[in-house]
Amino acid sequence: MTTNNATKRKFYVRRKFCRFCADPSLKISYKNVDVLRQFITDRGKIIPRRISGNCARHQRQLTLAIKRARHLALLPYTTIGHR
Amino acid sequence: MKLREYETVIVLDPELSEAEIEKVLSKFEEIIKKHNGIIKEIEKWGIKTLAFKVKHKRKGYYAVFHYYGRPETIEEVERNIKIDDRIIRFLSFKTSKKEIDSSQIEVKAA
Repeated sequence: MTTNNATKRKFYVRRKFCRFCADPSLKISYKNVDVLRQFITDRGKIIPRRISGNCARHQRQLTLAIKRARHLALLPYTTIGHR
Repeated sequence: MKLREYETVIVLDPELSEAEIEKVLSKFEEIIKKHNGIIKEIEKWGIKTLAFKVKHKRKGYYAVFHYYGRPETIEEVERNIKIDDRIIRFLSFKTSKKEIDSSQIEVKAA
């Protein structure tokens, strides 16, 4: 019985969706640091599409925005070596 | 004349006085205007904490220029930014792929 439950849970996958397609008011811009922060890991890496569920178009816009924000020191390149 | 829409972000030394910051901003406003550019808007974000140190500074004063210009305009702006050591970081890019005729912009601004 317990094993049955375990396997059931294993196959349950939450459907991923592109947050930018779902909410058109959510703008992708290097200025929108709070939104961009949700798509980087705590080490500063960009979260891949296969994890975040973003569509290709929005992921492309997102990476460009993150890279622009990084250059302007609005987002970190890495958090290693920071005090 | 055909113009493109550009955006230039500059990060200034936070230790500058308000008057000095104004001076830098108006200097670049002049440069844009002198090289066939039309200013749409200047955004001032004020002093923000940087995500990492830039030129040994932890903070920076952010300002964004929105303008229409020719490729020569942006070239000249960037050349002057590189000379000016009050600017610690900058980034310029096109915001639209379309070219707009300068006569149309005048109408929009009025």
